[in-house]
Amino acid sequence: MAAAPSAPTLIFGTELVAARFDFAGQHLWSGHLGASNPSKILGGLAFDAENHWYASCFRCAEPGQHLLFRFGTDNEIEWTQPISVLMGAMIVSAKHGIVGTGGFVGDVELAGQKLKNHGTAAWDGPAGLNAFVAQLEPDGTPRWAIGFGEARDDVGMAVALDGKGNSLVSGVRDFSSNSFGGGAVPGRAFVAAFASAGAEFWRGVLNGVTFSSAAGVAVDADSSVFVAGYVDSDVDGSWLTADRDVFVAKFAVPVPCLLEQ
Amino acid sequence: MPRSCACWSRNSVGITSDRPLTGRTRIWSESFATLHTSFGLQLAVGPTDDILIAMDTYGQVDFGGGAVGTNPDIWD
Repeated sequence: MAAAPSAPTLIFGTELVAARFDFAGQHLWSGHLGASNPSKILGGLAFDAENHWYASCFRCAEPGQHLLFRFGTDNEIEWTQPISVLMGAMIVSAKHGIVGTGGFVGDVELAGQKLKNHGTAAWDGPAGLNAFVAQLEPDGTPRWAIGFGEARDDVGMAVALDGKGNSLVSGVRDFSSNSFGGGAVPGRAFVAAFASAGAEFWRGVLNGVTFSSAAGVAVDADSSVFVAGYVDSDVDGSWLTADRDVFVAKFAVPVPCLLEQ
Repeated sequence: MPRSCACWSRNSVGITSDRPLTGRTRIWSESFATLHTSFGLQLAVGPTDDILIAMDTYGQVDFGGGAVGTNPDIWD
């Protein structure tokens, strides 16, 4: 008697998938980015100039372990590298390698730097979420990294490079993502500039609204910095359900504390 | 380079790609049904203008090349 076909294995969690299209929308490739932990979250995604692409993943292999992938022009994985931070956004430059931002939980080490976490709010463990910016070689070897943040949560959400190699990071700071049990606290949008070796030399923070977030940053050829995000000026405390407005702002960097009120 | 963006709702993912210098002239748009996308939906444009999207998702998604992912429809 033939063996009964085995039932498909269900993975009760998220999977990472990707698809590639040409400029006209023609499907070129789609695939499954294999990783074993069933509660993984995609982080950043970026191409380099040679048509390789990179993706990062939170809690990919094991809970608490994050990975960085590089894929070839054939969309096959070339290498996978464990990384101690949650790289939520990245860009890849031939000159500057992989520049990434995001968050980290607890004290971590990256590029030989111990990133001290000043957070106290619980997000994904016993410590809070602080932000980082880091530069890595194209093979994933870290060059430099710095962390920044305070007692509440901070996270970098977007990163850009200007023509001088400065890294521009936008995100949200001083919030609490621990929304379970009513602990959520709104935060404020920020944009910060870091020199090529990682030293922060400019930061603007959007004050005066209940909640704001800056999920996009770009730099033009004149080094003007554009930041996009949303603000929520609702004052009744129900920021999770209130209406939000979009903002876009342009800065000439360095202009210290242009947004600080 | 086309200007492209991706977005998602509870059970679908959409991509649009526009010509940047001619206003809102849409080149193409497409949407793909999935059960649910989680926090991660990212789009990147490559040096040859290829558009890459990636996401974490519950359930399989068919982007035009056959279903990817291993989860069958476990939600109604």
